[in-house]
Amino acid sequence: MTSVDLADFRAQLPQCELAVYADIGSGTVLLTDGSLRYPQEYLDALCECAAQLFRGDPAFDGQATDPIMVFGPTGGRVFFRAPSDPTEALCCICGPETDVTMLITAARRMLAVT
Amino acid sequence: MRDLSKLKSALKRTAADGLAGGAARPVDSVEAGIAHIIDAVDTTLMGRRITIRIGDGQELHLDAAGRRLMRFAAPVPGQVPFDPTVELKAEDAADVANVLRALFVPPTHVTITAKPTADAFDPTEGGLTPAKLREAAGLQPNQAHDREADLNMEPFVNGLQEKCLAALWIQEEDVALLAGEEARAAALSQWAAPMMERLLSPEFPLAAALETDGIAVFVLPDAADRHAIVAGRLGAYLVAEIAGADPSETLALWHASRNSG
Repeated sequence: MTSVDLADFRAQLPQCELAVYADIGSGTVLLTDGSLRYPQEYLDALCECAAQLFRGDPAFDGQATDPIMVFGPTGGRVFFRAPSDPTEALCCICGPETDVTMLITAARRMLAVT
Repeated sequence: MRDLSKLKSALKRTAADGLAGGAARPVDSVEAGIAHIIDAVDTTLMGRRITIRIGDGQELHLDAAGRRLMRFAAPVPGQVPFDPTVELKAEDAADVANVLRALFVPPTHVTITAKPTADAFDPTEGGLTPAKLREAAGLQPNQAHDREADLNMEPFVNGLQEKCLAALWIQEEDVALLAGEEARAAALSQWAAPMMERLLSPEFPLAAALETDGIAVFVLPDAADRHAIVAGRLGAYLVAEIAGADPSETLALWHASRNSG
């Protein structure tokens, strides 16, 4: 995963305002790409969300749940676990009109080659 | 040219996460100042310690939960000595209103922040409701905002019906089975219990948003052809297993139902 990969991924998704690639095991933000500059504590909170969601076992009926999304009235956060390294995750902040099908497809495609 | 619409939507989203973090809000009247504090209480479901800084000096610490002002978390200098260990009662409303009123004479800016409190409060009893506080402070009732009606989840539940493989309705300590065969519902309950505990933990940064008005979607592998959700509104929850691998329809329905309730 490079910063160019992350920027290319986000460029496909007009409603994705921030993409963060993080090591959720250590709580370290590895890469970010966003339309706005976000303070570090905001990125850390996003990373913490992913860590808490994936740290325990979120499997449903024996099957892995990935991505996990949390949406509210004004938008949402979408968390993907990296298949090559389960301690790494992609976290996205998206608007309410996000095409989640496109988001999931694009994220899975990018993470598959990471 | 800078795209201000993106900035605006990002700020709205940040605000939706909880109380604004440290931004000073201008106050041009006593009533406006009190209204900011009551609004902070009115949007607090899980226990929170709310810190109110008036101007650049005096600080007030309040505990709120279940959209109620539960107690003063620290003595208020020069005011009625509320006991920080005792929950407020309806008869305290006038004294509380006087304390809040005194804070904004003269009117100045206010900064409101909140953080989780480990103290447990009964979400249904005790404390002072926003309506009682507004009345005591002489503010107009908040007639334009019928939050209970706004947050009715029935349209969402009705819209999901055909795709619902199993669904549970959780409100306070009551759990009702809305749909699903016994085995599916049992599996759903088994998954929901620890998941709810995690999602609603004070340590989970999105807990308040989910509890107030949010939806968590758990996408399964395509072959499973289903997904799971936990949708919360005002402390009531719908936990459901829904047919179809693609969650986009479920999310669209959730957004649409918010505007139709």
